Amino acid sequence: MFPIARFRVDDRSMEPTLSPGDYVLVNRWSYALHGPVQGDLVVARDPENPTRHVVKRIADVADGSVYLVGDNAALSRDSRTYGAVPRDLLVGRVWSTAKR
Amino acid sequence: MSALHRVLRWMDRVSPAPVAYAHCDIPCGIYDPHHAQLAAHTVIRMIDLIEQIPKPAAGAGPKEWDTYASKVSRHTATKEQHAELAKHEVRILWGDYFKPEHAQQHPELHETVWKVLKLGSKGRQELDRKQGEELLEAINKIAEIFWKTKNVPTVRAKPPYNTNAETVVPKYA
Repeated sequence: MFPIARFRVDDRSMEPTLSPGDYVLVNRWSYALHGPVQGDLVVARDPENPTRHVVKRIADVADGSVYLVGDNAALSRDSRTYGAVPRDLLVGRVWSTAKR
Repeated sequence: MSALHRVLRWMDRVSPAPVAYAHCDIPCGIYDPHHAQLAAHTVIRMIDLIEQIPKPAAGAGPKEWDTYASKVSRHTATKEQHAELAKHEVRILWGDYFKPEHAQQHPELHETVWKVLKLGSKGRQELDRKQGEELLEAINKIAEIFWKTKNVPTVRAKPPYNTNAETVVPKYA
């Protein structure tokens, strides 16, 4: 599996870090050797719809799960709504971002 | 725009990247200028109805005056509510739906919203059909911009509301 995956960002819950139309490059191997850390910007499978992806920031790490929150917390739909997200849903850490 | 973004955009054309949603509170997308348009029609209709309430004749007693005052008050309250509702609905479209790129494509957007808010306040204060029609027209312009951003064609037609005023209707059916 090639480690780098690209995603196009949609919607505004990660503003000002990411805006619609930005791209992120994700390292799918980032959590192979060590676990996620608070503050990581990650792409994960959407716990409410596993065919889709979400981009969020890790606010807290628990045993086997992470708590995801959007940078634009006032607007964001995240773990505050759907609860902690199992770690297997993490695709990887954002390695690089390309702003529009 | 960074070089990396240009490269990724080019790759996107060759093979689209999956989308990572920075999900908003409620991934809504349910917006429609219809409520604002209805509210403006109601303002016009209330102005007409208030003007049609028979004035008590000369020498009328307190009872007739009370009845008249009560009718005028009720219609005025409804007029004010709907003028405020029109402002509220347009504020939602402006703040939640329209994006910076929409304002770039339709430079008249901000001023039209501003006009709606001003005319909405006038709709509360005054009893002037012409101002009511101007309020509706400004909201119709917002509706035209809104549907253009959705690539939905519109027509102008007079709905059967007793207001004898045109409304902008989307043709998505």
